[in-house]
Amino acid sequence: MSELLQGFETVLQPEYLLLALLGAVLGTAVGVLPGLGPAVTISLLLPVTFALGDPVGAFILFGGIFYGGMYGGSTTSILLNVPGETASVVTTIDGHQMALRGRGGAALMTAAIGSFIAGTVATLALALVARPLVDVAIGFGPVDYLALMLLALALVSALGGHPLKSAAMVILGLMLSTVGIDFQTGQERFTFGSLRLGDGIDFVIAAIGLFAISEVLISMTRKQEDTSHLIAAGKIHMTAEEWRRSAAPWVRGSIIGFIVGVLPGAGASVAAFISYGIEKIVSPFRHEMGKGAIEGVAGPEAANNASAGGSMLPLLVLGIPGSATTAVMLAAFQGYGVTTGPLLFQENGDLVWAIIASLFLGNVMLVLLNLPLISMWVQLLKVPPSLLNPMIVVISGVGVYSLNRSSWDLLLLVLLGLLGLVLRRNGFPLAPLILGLILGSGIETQLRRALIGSDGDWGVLLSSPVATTVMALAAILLFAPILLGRLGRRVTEDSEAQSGDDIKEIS
Amino acid sequence: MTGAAVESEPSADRNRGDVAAAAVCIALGVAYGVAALQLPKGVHGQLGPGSFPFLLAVALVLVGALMLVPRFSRGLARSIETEEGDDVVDGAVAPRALEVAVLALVMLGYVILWPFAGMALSALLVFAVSTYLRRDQLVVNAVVTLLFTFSIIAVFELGLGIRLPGFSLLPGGLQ
Repeated sequence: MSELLQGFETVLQPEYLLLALLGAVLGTAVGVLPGLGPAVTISLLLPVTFALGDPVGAFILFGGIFYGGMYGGSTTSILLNVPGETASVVTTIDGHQMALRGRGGAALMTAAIGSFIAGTVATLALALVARPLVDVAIGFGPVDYLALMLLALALVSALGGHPLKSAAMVILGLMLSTVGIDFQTGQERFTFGSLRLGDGIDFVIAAIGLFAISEVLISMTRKQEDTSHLIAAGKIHMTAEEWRRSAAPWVRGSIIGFIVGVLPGAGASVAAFISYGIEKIVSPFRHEMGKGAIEGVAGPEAANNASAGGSMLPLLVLGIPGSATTAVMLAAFQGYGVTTGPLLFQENGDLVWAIIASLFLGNVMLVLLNLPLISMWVQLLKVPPSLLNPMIVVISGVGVYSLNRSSWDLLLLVLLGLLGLVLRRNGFPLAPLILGLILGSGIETQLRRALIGSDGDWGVLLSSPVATTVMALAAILLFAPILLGRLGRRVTEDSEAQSGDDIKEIS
Repeated sequence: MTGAAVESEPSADRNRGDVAAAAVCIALGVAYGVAALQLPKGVHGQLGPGSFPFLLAVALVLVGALMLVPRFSRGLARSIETEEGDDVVDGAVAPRALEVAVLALVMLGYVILWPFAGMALSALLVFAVSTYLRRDQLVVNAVVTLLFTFSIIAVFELGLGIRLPGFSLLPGGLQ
């Protein structure tokens, strides 16, 4: 507890308060804007924060963006039936129905309060669980880490939209991680004789190219969202009945979200979908679900925020990111020369506890920022993409150039952007590729260490109880899509049916 | 044309897409595997630089082969998206091939133009194409783009001390 209080002491300095506020504002803005997300925004800001050289400030900023993205995503889901974030897709089902019935203000309020409660619960759980988990993780060997990283990749593949395509992307990411000079033998690999490729593919350039540039390219060819059917939020107010009905879903969503968030690869969308599915089963008002039930907003919105807090746990304690956003944050840690994992709490305790404290603070700022300023956030939807696109390209270009002062990096940025466009055009997800790229060198290192330790006996991979259990779990989870598919399809069908009804009403 | 016929067209497209994706995976896996075989495999207990890549190549070929089995490819496809998987749902993003070619040229033009003409002009190129493709308004957005670009240049050059290629606000001016 004293460590957390020290974290608050750090965060409450004026410059960090300002950065937390900036993160919250930026996060909410990117959450509102469809297409942009926390991973894109953080990757765009990486070069700037590297230049500033203050890791504490950078991570306070990133924490605000991460949580803010979850808050902002609900606004457009409810008022426009367009999810700002994929994690808010499920919110459109009941949230937009509530808005159509004149209860948009109540939907926004339950989303914001649920997000606040869930964010606080998840951060508290993170603070409480982190230290005991560190004590366990310190005893982990190379095989255990290898198993955990493989579990992360298996989960990303299993829970992706198309598991085989996700698996292919994971492998492609791992392949890209092998480009450059082999750290153990000094041998050049897949550089085609180019000195520039000797250092490998910079993760920051890959993240910006694949996420930001490909988004710009796709946005250029996409019709702008029609905001003409934007529904006024009305008075931001909940009745006593709505408070009563929201309470249990907030709690359930917080718990589900944190647990799902801790699992690498599952992420906020899955947390929200599971929460919605559970509300459909346990809520006394389940017959209203899909027609504007407040439980359908309160639960998923709490879950997607709690998952953000949960996903920080494997990142900080084990050094294993479970999502694109946490993968970008891991790259940021690496950029600052900070190694995540159990030793992080001993070697950079001040930084970790400042990050955790900033998440509490960011949550308070977000709820204060979001409720009174809903109408302002909605105005962001009117920024034309023809304006937004060059801005993103300019920030991307300057940011990437500033890393190594190299025009070659700019070319790589564009090539990766085009690769991202082609992959997305063909339904290949990019998050698994990014995770593969960032985890690739770690997996290879741990595999080599394990085999050296066992004198080449591959049986060592199943020698530890932790590794055996985790690998078995990974194998089982590869078949999870078959089991989870039914739930996902049911929710999606509801969503599609709902969208169809909305279109009919509008026309 | 019957409804069933209409529905079968996207399905056929998707099948063709899956076959093409599988073919690319297998081809890439084979090429990468062949290149990995040229690297030392290591000695007993010590993996060489070619071993891990070779394992990846085998895995990619296997995944590509599984994509060719319709039961795997279709039966496992779902619509739940990953956290940042805003791009997962098949068919959601489908710019035309000509547009992709134009955009590729524009982005390459942006990179090539920047060191010579500076960031403001290259940003205007992206802006012009974006405006043309989206049929958005011109003058106000162009002014905002330029103001934004110069603000970013100022932040990086004057704030962070990073000299950018092309037009520079730092002493020395145009490089």
